[in-house]
Amino acid sequence: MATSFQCTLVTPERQLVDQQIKYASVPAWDGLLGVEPQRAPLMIKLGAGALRLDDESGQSQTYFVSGGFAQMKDNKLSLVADAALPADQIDKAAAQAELNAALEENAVGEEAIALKKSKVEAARAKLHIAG
Amino acid sequence: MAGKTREIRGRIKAVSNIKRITRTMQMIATARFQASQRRATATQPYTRKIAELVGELAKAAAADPNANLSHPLLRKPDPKVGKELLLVLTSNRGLCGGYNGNVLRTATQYLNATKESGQQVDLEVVGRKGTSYFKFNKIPVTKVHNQFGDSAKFEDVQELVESYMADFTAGKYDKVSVIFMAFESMSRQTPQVLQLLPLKDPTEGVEGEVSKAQVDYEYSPEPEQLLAELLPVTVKTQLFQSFNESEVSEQIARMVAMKAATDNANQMSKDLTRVYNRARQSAITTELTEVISGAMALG
Repeated sequence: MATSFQCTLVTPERQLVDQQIKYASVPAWDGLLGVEPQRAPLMIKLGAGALRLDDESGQSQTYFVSGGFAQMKDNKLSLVADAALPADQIDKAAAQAELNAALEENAVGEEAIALKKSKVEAARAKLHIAG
Repeated sequence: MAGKTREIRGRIKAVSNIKRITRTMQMIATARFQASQRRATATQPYTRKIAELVGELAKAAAADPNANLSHPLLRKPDPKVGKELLLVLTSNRGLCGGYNGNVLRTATQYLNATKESGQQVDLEVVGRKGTSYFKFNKIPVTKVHNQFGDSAKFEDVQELVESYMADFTAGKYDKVSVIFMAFESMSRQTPQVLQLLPLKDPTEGVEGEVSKAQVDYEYSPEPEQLLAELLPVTVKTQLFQSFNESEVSEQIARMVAMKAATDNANQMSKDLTRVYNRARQSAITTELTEVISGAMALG
């Protein structure tokens, strides 16, 4: 019985993670989702939020991811994110500025409102991760 | 005679100066090529994964008889509006051999063929070389994109694709294509016309494979919705890939062109040195003959 699984995190510009992990906390579009070894196949849409990966030595890494997809298959978790950033590389001031800009946006119409909401959520998640 | 040797010496100097420049440019192109190659390979895992996900979802959608696949990006325009959009990727700088020429020739052929079939074409250009080419040939360009610089960022490409998708779904265009230099291998790059929109139906051709043992995924949201979300992403990755490939091809073309120029300069300075030595020798011979015959006349 495997106690770990392979996890990859890729964005359009580069591959951030490719390693064995024990547990992943994935920000799905409708809430956080925990993934353990030998999970049943899964295909979900990602939201914006914190991705936590616990490796075999018990250390955990946190990333900010926004948008994209996750797939679990053959004990392999693949995360295909629109954007991803390690937690320690988040610029808090820039995230705050992003949030302010998103909050001030004057959204008219259903699509614009949804876009604004997702922007606000992403900025809030970023700030939260940065602590 | 002295005048001739001096002239040849001047030419030898000029050639070796040019050689120095072309050799430097070759080295710069090599470094840039490695950087852009790295960038292009860095995007590959993403592109591959997206393609894999689309394939899996398309299979699932094809297996489900109730699934209704009618995404606006897949829609074949009906009725046709008689207009399409063409994006041409060229470089900002010259001295890269036939790189721009090849892309632009393909673009012109495509333009002429499309116009003959009665379609109107809105032409958009990336890169200074393409812009001046179309200006010189008096071919109207709808829009010039200068925001990309030397290496395209995903966000910029994404913005561009989003505007195309909006125009396409609004029914402004029947088709959106891009012409760029595709990177096949180190020694082979060919201009390619890639149709971005409408997308090819991902369920086409999977019918035969459906019977294969399928992974029973847990989906969230429903597969059709996931597929609808994934399709715009595929368009973006396709265009981003085109940008990356054309960048790699440009650097290769420049590398090859500058290598040829350096080799030529080498050969030329060798030939010139030979001519110079011969001229010098014949000058000496003439002088000697003059001295000897003068001495003999006196004696």
